[in-house]
Amino acid sequence: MKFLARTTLKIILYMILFIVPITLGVALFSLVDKGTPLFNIGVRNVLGEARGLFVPSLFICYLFSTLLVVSLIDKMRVKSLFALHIPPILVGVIIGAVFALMQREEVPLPVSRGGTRVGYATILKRNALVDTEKYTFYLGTEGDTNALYVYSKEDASLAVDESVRFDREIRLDREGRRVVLQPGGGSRRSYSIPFRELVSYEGVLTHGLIRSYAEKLRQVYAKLRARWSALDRRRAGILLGMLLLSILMVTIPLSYWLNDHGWGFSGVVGIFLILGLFPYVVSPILEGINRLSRDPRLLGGYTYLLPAGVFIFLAIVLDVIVSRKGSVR
Amino acid sequence: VSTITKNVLSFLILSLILSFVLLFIALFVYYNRTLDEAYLIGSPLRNGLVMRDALKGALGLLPPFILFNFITAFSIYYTLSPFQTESFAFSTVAVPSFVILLLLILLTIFSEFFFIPVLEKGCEQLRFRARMLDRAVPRAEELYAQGRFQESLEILDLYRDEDMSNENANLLYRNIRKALEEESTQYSPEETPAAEEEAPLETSYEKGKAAYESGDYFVALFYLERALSLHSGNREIQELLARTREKTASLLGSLTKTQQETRWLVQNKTRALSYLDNGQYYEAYALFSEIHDRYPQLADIRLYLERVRGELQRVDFLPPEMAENAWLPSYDHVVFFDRGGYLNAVERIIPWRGDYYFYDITRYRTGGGGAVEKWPYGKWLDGRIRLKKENSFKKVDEGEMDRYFIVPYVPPGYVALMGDRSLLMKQLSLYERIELTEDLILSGLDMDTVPRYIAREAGVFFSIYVLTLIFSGIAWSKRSIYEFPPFFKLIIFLVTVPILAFIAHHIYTAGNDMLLYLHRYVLRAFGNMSVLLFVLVIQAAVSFFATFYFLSQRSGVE
Repeated sequence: MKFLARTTLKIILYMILFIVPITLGVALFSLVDKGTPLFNIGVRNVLGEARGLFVPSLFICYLFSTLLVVSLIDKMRVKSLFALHIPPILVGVIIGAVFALMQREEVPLPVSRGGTRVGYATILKRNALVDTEKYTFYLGTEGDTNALYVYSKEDASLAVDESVRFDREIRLDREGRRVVLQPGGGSRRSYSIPFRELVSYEGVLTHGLIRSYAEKLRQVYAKLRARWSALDRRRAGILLGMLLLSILMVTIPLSYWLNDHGWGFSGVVGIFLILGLFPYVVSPILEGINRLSRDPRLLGGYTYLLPAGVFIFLAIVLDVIVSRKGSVR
Repeated sequence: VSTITKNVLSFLILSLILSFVLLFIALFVYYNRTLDEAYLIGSPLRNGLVMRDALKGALGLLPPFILFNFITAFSIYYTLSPFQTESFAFSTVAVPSFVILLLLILLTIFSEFFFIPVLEKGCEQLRFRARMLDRAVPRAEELYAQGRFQESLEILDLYRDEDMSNENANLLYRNIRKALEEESTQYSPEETPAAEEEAPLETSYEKGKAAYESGDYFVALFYLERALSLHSGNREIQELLARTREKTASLLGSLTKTQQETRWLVQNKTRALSYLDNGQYYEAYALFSEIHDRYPQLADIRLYLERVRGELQRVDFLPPEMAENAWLPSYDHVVFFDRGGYLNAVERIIPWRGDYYFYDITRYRTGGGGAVEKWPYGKWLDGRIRLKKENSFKKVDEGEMDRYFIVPYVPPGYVALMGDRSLLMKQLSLYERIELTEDLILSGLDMDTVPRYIAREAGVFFSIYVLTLIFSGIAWSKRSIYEFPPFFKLIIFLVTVPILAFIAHHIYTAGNDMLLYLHRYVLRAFGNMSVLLFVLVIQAAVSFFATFYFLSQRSGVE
């Protein structure tokens, strides 16, 4: 009992330690992904974005803290692998209860609704040459005067307007996520530049490897979201809860297994292996489940729980294998 | 030096060398498979480029590479039997490892600030040469088809200097040689000037005398006038010149119909010669050109014109030179501001044998409200870009210097790269950053100031220090001295730790970028605090805790 309480407390402490950097990291990633230049917006907007992404960040933090505790645990004190599932579940219950209470008080947390304001100053770099695929332009600002020079690489022409006004010669098409430049105004030629070409994310989590991993994660999220968004609120809650539980049930025995056999560092780094492989393993499983669940006769009214059911089944198999093979020192 | 220290040094250094070689080989194989630009296919420079790219890539990966090696050392190497002695203590492995870590950080600093930019420059030069070679054979074929054999041969020689095995090039080379031989045999022996077969005449006097004797009095006049200007008191020259002038005067009578025309010719030639002697080449060129246009038969004027042209080409150029080099690869669509307040857009810039050629320049004087002006040609001459439309030499008035010359803030090599900002940034060493940042910003480039750049780079070096100490500490605390890592776990370790090191390093540097971002808020609170100082203070604090954590590791095993 003491062991369970200490482990639960450890998970909560790790969560408190990691929640801020993880949420900031997720917010940073989301901003970069949306094509919003981080270094042109205020910290209030970053925090607004982080607030909007609090729920997924909390989930990542919960998963990470749990795995870290399990992979660093002193194996001599673990009586049963099955009992090791209890502390994470307790923490999950606490988090769920807090959410439920907050919802009863009608103070819902905004989910995935970034509060980032995108204005001209956010998108357009002033007093520096901005190079895009088709054009190079310069927006010079001195006092109240804005000068715009646009060089077109297609026909090597230079367009000049030394008294531009925003919303007239320069327009932000927020829906199309592009900037429209019209030096000279009126019927003159206009230049359309997508937001993403205007932003340089120097060194901020932009490596191809990191981005391809994020893309895979997004695919898994989209598949899961497609499933729960078709359900009513109660069923969606049940599905999400079951999914969370199933993911924990799969990852706990895995990280415990890696922590086994004395040499511990593989256990610690194994968390990253689990998190790294997570979207690559889950994505095809979800694909298979999607095909299976097209038949409504399979589980009747509970077909929507099929993904969670499959993961829990896998978790139980893993638990049995690891508890029989592992825990030997 | 204790045995354990020796072991630490040998294990760690050997591991570093071996894993660096492996990393280099892996990157070499990777780039060899992925470098697929059309101009590199079959290029003789491809292997050199792959080699440099792999070395550059390996040096760029130094931070996660160091991290990986230290985790491995503290997790595996230091648990092996050579370290299991009675005198073993954590400090016996920690201290030498720490010293090696500091040396490796120094190596990374050198690599980031100097070595990688040098390699980047080398790679870019190789790429440019490869692009040039890719175009050389087709251009030589084109010239051959036009019957311009000598030019074709010169271009083909550029290619053959790098690659003698290309069959197309070799066939073309043989054809050109054959064509040139045929061309030379077409000249009959009597058409060849006798003077060319003899030893070349050294002095103007000798040349003038030879021309006089062969009846080329205008040619003789040119050389003798030159000889006299060098040796004004020489009687022999004076006499021969006088005789030559007599001859040319009588010849002039048949050329000029009136006395007035003769006077015009003599007066203008005298003025032109005076300009030439005073170094006023543009004025001399204008006069000689005028005389030459009217009397193309006068060989001395033609020779003077050639001489003036030669002098002018040191400070000016003519469009045919630009057309000759237009086939070369170029840096395209370069936009920059100059010292005259103009915004310049250049469609093509060709760097070639120390010269820089600019094609299709569009200029606008910012804040001036004037018109956009286009210039077809420009050449880097005497610290500025001379612009040109016409096929002649024309002196630029003092008041129009701004219009005819572009004076960039930076040398032409940097101007050429301004169209590719990231390429230029990668090539700048620390010294160049310090020298050029201000001028590049004035040229319109979006780049970090020097303190901000150093603060950003500091993130890389602190990342190595902090992450290595923390992960080494964790690795040490989770080690096992009772068994060698099981095979399965070892595989997981070898797969996961490099990726972990890579991601951790990126996250740490992203955190450092966040510090740079937060500096704007620090300014509000603490006034004018330097971004570099701010970053160094925070990173030093983090490093202190990392060092403390590392040193607090125990020697024993639970």
